Amino acid sequence: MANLSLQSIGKNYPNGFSAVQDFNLEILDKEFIIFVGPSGCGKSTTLRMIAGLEDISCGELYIDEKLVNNIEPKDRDIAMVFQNYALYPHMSVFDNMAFSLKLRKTPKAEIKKQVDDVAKILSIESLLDRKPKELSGGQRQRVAIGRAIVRNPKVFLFDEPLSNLDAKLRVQMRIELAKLHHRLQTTFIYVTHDQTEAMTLGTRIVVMKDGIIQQVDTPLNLYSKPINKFVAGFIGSPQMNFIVTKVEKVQESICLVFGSQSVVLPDGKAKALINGGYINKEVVMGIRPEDIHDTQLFVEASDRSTIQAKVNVTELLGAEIFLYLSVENNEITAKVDPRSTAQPGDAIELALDLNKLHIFDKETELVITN
Amino acid sequence: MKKLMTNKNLTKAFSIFIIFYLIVIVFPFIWVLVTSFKPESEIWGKSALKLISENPTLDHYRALAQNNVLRGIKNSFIVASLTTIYVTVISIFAGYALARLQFRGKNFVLTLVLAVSMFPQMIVVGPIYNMFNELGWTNSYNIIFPYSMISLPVAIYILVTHFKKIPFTLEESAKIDGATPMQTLLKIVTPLALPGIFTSAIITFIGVWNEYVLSLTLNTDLSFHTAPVAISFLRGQFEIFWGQVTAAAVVVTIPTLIIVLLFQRQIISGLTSGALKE
Repeated sequence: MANLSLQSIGKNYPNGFSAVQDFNLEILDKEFIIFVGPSGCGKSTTLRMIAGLEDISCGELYIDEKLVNNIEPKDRDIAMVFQNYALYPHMSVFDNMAFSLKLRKTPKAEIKKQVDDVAKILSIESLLDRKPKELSGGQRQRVAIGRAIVRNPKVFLFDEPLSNLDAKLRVQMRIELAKLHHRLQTTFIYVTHDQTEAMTLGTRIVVMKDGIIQQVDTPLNLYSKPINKFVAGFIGSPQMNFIVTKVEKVQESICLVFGSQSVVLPDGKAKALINGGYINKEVVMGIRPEDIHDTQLFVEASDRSTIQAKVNVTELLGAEIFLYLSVENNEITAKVDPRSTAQPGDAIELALDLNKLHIFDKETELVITN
Repeated sequence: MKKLMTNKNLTKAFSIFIIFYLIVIVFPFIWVLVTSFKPESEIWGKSALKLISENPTLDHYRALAQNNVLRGIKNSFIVASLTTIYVTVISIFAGYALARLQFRGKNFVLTLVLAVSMFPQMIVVGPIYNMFNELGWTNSYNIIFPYSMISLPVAIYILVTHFKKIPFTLEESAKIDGATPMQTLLKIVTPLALPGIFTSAIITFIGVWNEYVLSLTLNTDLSFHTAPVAISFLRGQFEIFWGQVTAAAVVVTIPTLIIVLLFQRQIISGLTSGALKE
């Protein structure tokens, strides 16, 4: 159990490449923090710096108020689960899990008890005598997690632990990890590029890009109040639709105009644009696929927010249909009710839920209003 | 269909070639084996070509007990074992350092190590003899040091490739588990590199076991002769005792044969692993 403080942490390589820049974050005790971002965004590097596997180029890292920049991994009281499990192939499952305890000269009886307890939690009691090569991917991952738990560390670090598992197993392990966090009541730091894992597991999520933190927030806030266009596009699947529009004042209302179509903004959002001085300027309109509706009822009820679109492709997923559409040379996606009758080639009328519109500055890509 | 036929014929031709080639390769050894059981009178002349002797005898083998060959085998065993142990320990540390540690001039060191193995042995025998003379090391087991010098480059090279093959995450994992670099090397890396360690140890052992020139030059005293040298001394003033030489050759070959048969799987995996991405 520990809180961590990362203060202006940076990682620079000798060739001048800067993997992480000015990383500031306070991680509270028992938090489940997720680092998420596209590959090469510096999330794994940050995790490895916390683990002590990479030197910290600048800034300070505190674990429980103790500066650990120059402290060996073994003395940081952390445990790490690697993407490729990193089990010792020549040792049995028991020995893999007991390795760290043996190095700490824990009495034999104590080691056995601890390993057995953890094996029970992860239901791998029957595998203790096996070698890693005799285990399936899911079992190996359990052992890797078990090896981390046995030590009872202050902080757990996970480096894309589920990315080598198949889709079904991944969902299962995800749920188990959530349970495990609840049970262990310890700080978890978890790196992933999978935004579903991020959204479902994290108490807070750190979205990174090019070595820089974009936004740190709860999953819900990241989803509904993204701070910039990158976060808006990265979180959510299918991703948010973006259309470049021009802000125009028509009589008393503020409209977003694109091609021959336009939508009239609700008062709150209109005000933000007026205050920001965006009238007659271009902005990026963002709308999530589930906020676009094609039902007759919705369309009729909101004539100020309807747009015309041409259906290119439809994808039935069971509980919903994805419509891939063209609107004034923009490709957008809508997630609609499976009773939709839209067919490829149809010209249809859609209604946007304008209260859920996100508007971004075209140059800075920062949000103007959520 | 036609292609299949040609392939079949090709395979057949190739098999015949391999069998023929094997016979050529194994023939000297078979002759040595056959000769070792023949009385001196049958070794030369017409009966030399006979596969089975008319009067098979174990006299030559009995004679080995009386001459210096058995002591030679004992010396060879001591020298080869000591060299193998020494070379293995040193090459594990050197190989690990060259494979994993980051330091300036690493590639240069590796090249230098390999370059050493390219010196023709005949050239270094003279200087080594002078040095041994100065140090008073002639006629002793100190010959293991020049042997190590000759064996180390290949051993180090084999181990470098093997250590490089071990996933680095395992070492990182050990580091987080609390292992010191030495513990990581001994408990994680070494066990995983065992095929490579076996290979380099066996190559070293066999190399030393068969070495002749250095042993002949540095250890002139009969009591320090190694097996190959002892065999070469199986001669009178006017003749070479071919019967005893062949019997000795058979006896000396047996240990290496046993080693190779026992460990051939490790040797093959040791020599080829690392060639392909797994």
